[in-house]
Amino acid sequence: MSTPIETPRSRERARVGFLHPGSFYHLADLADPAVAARDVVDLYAPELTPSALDNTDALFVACRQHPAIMERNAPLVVDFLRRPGARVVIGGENGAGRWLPGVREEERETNFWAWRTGEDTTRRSLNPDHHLWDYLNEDSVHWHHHNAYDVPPGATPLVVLEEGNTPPKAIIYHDAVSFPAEVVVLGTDPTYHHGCGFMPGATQLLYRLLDWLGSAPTR
Amino acid sequence: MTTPPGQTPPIAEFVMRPVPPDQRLQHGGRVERIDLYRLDDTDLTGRPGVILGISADQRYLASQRDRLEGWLGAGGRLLINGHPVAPFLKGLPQWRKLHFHGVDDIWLTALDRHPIWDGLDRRDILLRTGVPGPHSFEELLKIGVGGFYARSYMVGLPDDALQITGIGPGRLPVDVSYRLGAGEVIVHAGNDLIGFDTPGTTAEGLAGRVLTYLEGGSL
Repeated sequence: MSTPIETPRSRERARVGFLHPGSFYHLADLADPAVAARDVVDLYAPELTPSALDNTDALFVACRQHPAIMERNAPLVVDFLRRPGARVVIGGENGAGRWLPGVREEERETNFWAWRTGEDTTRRSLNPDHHLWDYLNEDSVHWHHHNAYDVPPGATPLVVLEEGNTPPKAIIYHDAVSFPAEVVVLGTDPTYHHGCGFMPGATQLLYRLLDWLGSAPTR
Repeated sequence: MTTPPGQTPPIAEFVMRPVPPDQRLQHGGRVERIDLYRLDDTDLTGRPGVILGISADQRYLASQRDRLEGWLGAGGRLLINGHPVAPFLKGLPQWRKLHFHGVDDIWLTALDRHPIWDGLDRRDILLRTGVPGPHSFEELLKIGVGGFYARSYMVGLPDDALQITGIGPGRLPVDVSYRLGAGEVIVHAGNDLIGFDTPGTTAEGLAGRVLTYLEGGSL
């Protein structure tokens, strides 16, 4: 009998927690071999305990959490953000404005058809020299959006809406200053659309963000 | 919620969020919307129908299997929206991913007859757009977006299951119905079925048809 090999074996590769409430699309995300190959740890939101996060270096808060469960788990996520070097992605449609300190969030109408008609969604990529663009690309961030955020002081907007606001509201931003951890906040919902199986850009965004999370320093 | 003696309680629709009191009754009181996590303390006795929204936590549903099967066995009618990924009911078909490029791959075909779908031209639910105004089907073929109604299929159907709608050239099942005891399980493997009620098309009145059927009525 051989002993099962624990993965990731090298502690140079980050262990990425995937916090989700068991919706079909999250279960499909976890069942995807391309997700499993990124050493994702299944964290079922209704049963999350503080110790469940002990062995993770990075955390993906999946999109569309149950609001009451999200509120209950928010202190654990915020605690995780107090770990220097940790990396966190907050998925869209999670009401981050209600529980993530310093976040101001607004809803936006979702244009799901612009790719068929060529309409201008006013969505623009920004700050091409930022290191997140080593992981992201245009296809992965330009499909649709639900939420827009005020960019916290010192944070970097990566995708914004040019709708006349100064500064523009962000659809995706990276914040390395508000917390000891780094956080990317999304106004899009890739873990929903990938698991549903009908948005190729969402699939790219999920994989690419998992790669960024997987590159987090390990403890 | 208490129902006066002699009166049938409303259809229970379980959703993945807390429901404020003023949003509890929907569709003129025919539907009572309930937080899914209250299913374990919701009395289903006498409820003619139950609707599960697409985001329902399927791990939690698996923990409620005995209650759901008991209620179905006594004659309940259950509408499941979304992809069945966790096997949370006896006989529940299982979701399979579909690889598609273009509308032919996700074309919808009427198969076995079912009262809810009677008279529904599947072209009326195939494509959507947010471009204002009415659009002919030919126009929608140019600017519409598919996949909302279905973009995957199901396998493992019980022998006596109805295959109501098929997808793609293989006409693989996306809407199915099967008997469970004296009850019926209806699975729509796509976005919430009621949401496809579209005025001015053969899908007009679809929501009412669903509710009437789940109330035990005949159509």
